Amino acid sequence: MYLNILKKDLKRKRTMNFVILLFVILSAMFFSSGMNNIVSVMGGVDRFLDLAGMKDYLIVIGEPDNRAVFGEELDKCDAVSGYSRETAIILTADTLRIRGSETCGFGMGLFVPAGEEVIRCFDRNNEPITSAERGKVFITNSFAEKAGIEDGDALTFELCGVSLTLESAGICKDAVLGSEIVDSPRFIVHPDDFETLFADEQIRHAFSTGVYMIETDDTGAVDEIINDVGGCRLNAAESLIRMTYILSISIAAIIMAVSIFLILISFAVLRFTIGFTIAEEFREIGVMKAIGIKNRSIRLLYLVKYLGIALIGASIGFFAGIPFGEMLLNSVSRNMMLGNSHPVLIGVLSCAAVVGMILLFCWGCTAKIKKLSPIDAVRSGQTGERFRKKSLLHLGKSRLSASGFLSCNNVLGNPKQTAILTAVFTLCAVLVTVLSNAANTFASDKLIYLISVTASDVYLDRTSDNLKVQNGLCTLEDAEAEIEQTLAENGLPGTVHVERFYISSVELNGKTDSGRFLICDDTSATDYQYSEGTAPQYANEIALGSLIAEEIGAKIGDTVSVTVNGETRNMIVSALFDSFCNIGKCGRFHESFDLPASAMAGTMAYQIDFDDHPDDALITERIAQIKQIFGTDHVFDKAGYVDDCAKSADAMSGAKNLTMAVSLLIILLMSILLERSFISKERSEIALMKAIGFKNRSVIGIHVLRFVIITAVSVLLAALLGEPATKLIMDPVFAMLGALRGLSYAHNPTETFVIFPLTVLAAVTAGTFFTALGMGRIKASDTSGIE
Amino acid sequence: MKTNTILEVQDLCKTYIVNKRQNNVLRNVSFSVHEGEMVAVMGPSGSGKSTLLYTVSGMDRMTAGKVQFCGKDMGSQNENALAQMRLDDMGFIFQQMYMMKNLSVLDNIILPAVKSRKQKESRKETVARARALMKKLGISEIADNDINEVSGGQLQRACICRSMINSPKMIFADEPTGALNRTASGEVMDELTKLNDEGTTVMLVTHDAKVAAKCTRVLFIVDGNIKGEYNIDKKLSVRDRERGLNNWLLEMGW
Repeated sequence: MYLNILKKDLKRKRTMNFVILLFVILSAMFFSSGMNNIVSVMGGVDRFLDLAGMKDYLIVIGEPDNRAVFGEELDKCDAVSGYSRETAIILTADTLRIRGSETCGFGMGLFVPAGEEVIRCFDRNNEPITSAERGKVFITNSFAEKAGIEDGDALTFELCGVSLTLESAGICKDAVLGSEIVDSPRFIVHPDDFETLFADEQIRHAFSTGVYMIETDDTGAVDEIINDVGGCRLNAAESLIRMTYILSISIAAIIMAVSIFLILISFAVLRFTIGFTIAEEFREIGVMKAIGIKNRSIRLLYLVKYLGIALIGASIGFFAGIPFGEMLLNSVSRNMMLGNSHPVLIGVLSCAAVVGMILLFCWGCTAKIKKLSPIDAVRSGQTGERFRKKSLLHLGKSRLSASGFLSCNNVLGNPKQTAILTAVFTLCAVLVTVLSNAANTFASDKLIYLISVTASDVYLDRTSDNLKVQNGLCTLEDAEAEIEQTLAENGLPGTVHVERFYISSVELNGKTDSGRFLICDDTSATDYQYSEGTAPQYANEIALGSLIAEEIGAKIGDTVSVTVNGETRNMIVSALFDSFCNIGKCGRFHESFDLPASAMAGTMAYQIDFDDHPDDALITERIAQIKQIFGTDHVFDKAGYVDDCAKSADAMSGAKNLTMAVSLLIILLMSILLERSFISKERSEIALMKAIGFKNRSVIGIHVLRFVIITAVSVLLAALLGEPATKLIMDPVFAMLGALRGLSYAHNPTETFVIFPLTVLAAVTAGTFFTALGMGRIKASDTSGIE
Repeated sequence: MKTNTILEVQDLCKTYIVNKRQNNVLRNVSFSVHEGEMVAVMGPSGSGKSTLLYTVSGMDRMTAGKVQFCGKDMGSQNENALAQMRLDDMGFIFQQMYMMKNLSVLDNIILPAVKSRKQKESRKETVARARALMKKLGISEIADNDINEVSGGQLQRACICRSMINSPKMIFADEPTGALNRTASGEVMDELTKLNDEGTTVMLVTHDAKVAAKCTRVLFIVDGNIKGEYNIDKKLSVRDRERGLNNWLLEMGW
């Protein structure tokens, strides 16, 4: 009997059942792939770091003398239980030519001999790279992708007049520095090839570096050593390295959020459908009750159908989720080893959970059956009770046309139905708006203050100059003057300045943390944005990044001990600021604070301000010119520099497009399903309208207008809720990147107020209109056949 | 007195194809209805009475034949033109008192007028006209009620008001008293008779000889064919009319 009922129902309500099936498929697909994604990425980061040999603290120390002292200090330090060390050559973008002449920018590259690394890297097949053939080089995947390096491409390394050309042997997965956000590629070569460069005295002095992997339960103690010794180029605790995978985790979280959202929508769809079905079949239900079938049995009858749909949908969703999940993880898996050894089991369990949730929900929805009685069967659904709420509108008092009135009256006369539809459409539009705002913010120059630099016309990243300054080959002023001169010679006169940073530790009440501390000779501390307090006014004042302040519990007015360049000073915290710099672990000294440039850990990009204050279009032209002049791709405008530092615009834009596509699909399916339900539910009214002289197009118009009104309200609500929802959802994401106090988001009014509303409206109108065309089959004479 | 023909039906056929089987519901039906007439269509169940009503009123398409309403060939009209004719020139009353669920009784009545705009009048004037009609049919007190709050008889009278709101040339009624008790049925028929007396042409389908006896003419239909036609003398008493009709129906095999 159950199968017969199922067969009959599937035949009668093909469209509705098909749409429900689609929602179940989508829910199962997103949920299973989302779960797998989360497990793979979250578990993957742990597993990857373990396999790579990541310990508690990674330190990169520059000069050989510093390294010797640093090693001695580590040996003496009780807090350090062990460490390993490798020697690498630091590469800058201008030392590398790809396929003979091409260049591609990067932060700080490490040229290392295979087999001696402190960080184990893995090849494309997740096998550890223990050796490299002579003449071959393995390259970090994120950089290989960025530079378009294929296996077999020639890479020429040229330092201090020594040139070495190697052939790409493939990609390597680097757990520690391999994330896109780090932008520090690793080049693993044969020890003999390494020696070719390392043998040169000048290279050994200026470019060699020591990479230390330290086991310690007190990173503060190591920070003290770093500050005593100096020459630190990079320091990253395990937690910070983990944070570099935030993008991959965020994308996994977004997919998970979308899948939960889809399941909720499926529930709404199911609620509608079950409600309609029960309302439509009151007579059958009444008769079943009249002949003595119990409530539970009747509810089970209906559940069979949804169990069938849920099982079929979940099965298809499970299989569809495998390639979908792989597609989502594709970009992540190229960069890291994933930590999911049971993807099939997780997929099956997720799909089973979807089936379970749907059935539970359906069981709840069929509770309405309990209210129907045998009387319904004989009294055409009328029980004699008359508690209907009167309609709010009156045609006699309205100025609307008959069609307009009927649409409005239907919207207001069915508040539950209207509320659910409005909620779903609003939620879809809000989600898209939130991700659009986030993507626009990342792609705009609004976040330039979060990079902890001032606004300039152009940002030129030249890591090679840092090494010269650190090695005492030139001063920062020389480097700036050289850029200014080159620009002037090419008809682009302007001023150049650069932020330099130091790896410093800061301590308050026994709590220590370290990070990047910025200072610039050519700007004033007052030129920067602070979230609390006032800019440092004197050399003994300091502004702390919100995250580092939170870690050590520092507030404005506190006196903290800052150790930098081997000296410890007491400084007053005058301000707090949000920053993406070093994921919020940073600070700013007053410009009068005396620190030798040679002791710096690095610089931000060189900032160029043209004398003639060009407009955006001219800046774009000049960026292309500067790229040619300096032979680097690392030249940006404000928005470009933000993206280069945060590396999130593409990911957010991708998430936005995915959400937009899913939302439109949901909206379209909801419109089709609900209009189909309305036609079925209002068959008698449609026939009656036609009988009294409404044209088919008028009736279609009434139905379409009803959805258009709801959509218009929804997009209006979405526009109003867009900003608070963006803050609610995105502030925690930005906080993880260092903007603890939230930020003002960049809006694209055309997108928010024109493109999204019109797209949603178009999807709803199209879905409703094409479904409503089915009303043509209902004739005026059908009034006679309706009960 | 000979009046103008409002409805002319010639060789009307209606065939349904169900499961590849042809079902000829109407077979070469011919008749005419003159202005001011009140014609009842009677016949056994499944004889094609309702199909005839729906086909001649343009609610359903004929398979063959010719139907002229007010001189217009219904067969050559498209769906929109037919809808416009139903809106402006015809009124409909159904056995079940179909009304729009979310509207009050008054709003249901004025809906065709608001849609039609046949009468060039303001919304207020439409409402006033509807209230006058309701008063005439004795249901003015239910104007603002929800359709679930009124009795079947009241609702059917509201349906009559709705059918009258655009001052149609003809009212088609499909078993208008079929779902009503005897008292309500009598009241509704009294209203229809009054309307007919005022000049509105009425064509109704009924099973009830008492109802049919209030008409001026009865068409008896069997298996899709008009088997006989009976004219009723309105001057006779109700009882005599009913008796005469019953005798005739017996002859017809009723």
